[in-house]
Amino acid sequence: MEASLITNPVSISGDEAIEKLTAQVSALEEANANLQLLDEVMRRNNAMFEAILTNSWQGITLTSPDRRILKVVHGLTGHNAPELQGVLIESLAVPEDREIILDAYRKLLRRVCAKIAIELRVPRVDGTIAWFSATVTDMLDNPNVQCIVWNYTDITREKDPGLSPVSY
Amino acid sequence: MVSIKEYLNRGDSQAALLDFLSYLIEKMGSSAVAVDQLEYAAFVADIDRIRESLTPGLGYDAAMVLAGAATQALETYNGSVTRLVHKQGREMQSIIKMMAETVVYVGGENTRSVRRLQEIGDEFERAGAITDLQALKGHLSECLRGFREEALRQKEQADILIAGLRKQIESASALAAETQEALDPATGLPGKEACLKTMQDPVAIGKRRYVVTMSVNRIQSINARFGHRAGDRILRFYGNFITHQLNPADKIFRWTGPAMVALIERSETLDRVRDQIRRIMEMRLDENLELEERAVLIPVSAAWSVFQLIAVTTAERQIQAFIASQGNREFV
Repeated sequence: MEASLITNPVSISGDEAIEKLTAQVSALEEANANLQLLDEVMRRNNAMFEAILTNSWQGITLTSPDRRILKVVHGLTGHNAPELQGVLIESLAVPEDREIILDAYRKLLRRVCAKIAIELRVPRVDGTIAWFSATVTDMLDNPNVQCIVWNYTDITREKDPGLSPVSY
Repeated sequence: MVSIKEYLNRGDSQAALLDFLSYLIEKMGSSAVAVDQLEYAAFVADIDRIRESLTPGLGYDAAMVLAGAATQALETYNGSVTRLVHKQGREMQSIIKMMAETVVYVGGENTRSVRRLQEIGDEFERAGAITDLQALKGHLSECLRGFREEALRQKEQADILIAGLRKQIESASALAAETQEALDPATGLPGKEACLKTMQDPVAIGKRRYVVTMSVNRIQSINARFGHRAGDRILRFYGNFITHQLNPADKIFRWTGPAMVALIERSETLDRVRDQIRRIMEMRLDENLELEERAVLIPVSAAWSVFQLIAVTTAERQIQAFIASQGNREFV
């Protein structure tokens, strides 16, 4: 994709030059209008996705094959998402459940399966422990994603129905 | 000197004859040359046995038989010693010849060495004709002295040669380090400074110089996912691709980050050049990235722009503006 339109600076004098320049200005104006339209569409789409994700019960996190967090698209534990970038995802889980994550990555990278479902416990920012049911998907071969994608939901209440709403 | 026959004819006493024979046989044993210890011991034992057989009262005939046996034993032993000495001589010459050939080989094409060693080889040839052991030893000592001198001379020459080679290696290493500094370590392409310098070079008559700026897409994303080594590999891959697609005379540089700049000289107009570049840029590229446990196919592409070079400062600004506009498109 060519990203800029640069005028050929061969000097032309007279009406021909004015005509050419006018034509180029028109073309630039048209291109600029198209870009503005595209920008507006993208802005609206982004806002819409953000609104949908904010109200979603599902968390989404992207990691690299070496298990480092690339981006928390929508978090459920109360952590500041940008601060988690580069952190090993298993370090967020309780120590007893970390091996589950390591094993899931091993299986995905060896192509034993493309998607794996796991359950694990993760401490929230407030110190309580949450149970998550996660689907970890290998999307390394998708050129638009190229990472390991986590989709997860909080199942703490299902695991311990006796929890008070406050604890939950 | 009195012969045994005369001694017998004189009719001297038998005992004196036996003593004389015993003395002679003993001398035969003690005068023999000990070349091979085993054979010598066997010969001495034979002689001793014969001498011990010369008992008092032994008849003339029997004494003559024993004398004949002693002579026969001595002759046999002498023959064996002569063969052994010849054999040793041949072996010695063969060893020396082998040494001479080795030294000639080591001397390589050094004419002086070859001549000198040839002379020594000739000396060895002459040594083959010497039958006297002492003389042979002396001659061989001379030859070996010549060898030692030649070996020393060659060592000195080799030391001089090694010192020269070491100097050459040092200067070549310094030159290589200098060149290495000028090249971008990730892509092996010359850097931004070299690009700005080349922009100032005169353009061939009838041609215009165009600046092609390329920004490899998704490098930040690749670095985040697969590490900086993977990002560098993709940049190197793209640099090689562009190098092979453009003309050999075109020059490609690593600018900064994911950006590369090609300086190309063409006689065509900007529109024509842009079409040529577009055809190259629209090629679909993939690079297989080997991770620890599997491979991932990475699509490789670049955003690009082309403009005609008028002034270096303007060109630098245009390149920077283009790169800045691409930075906003990166996402993780």
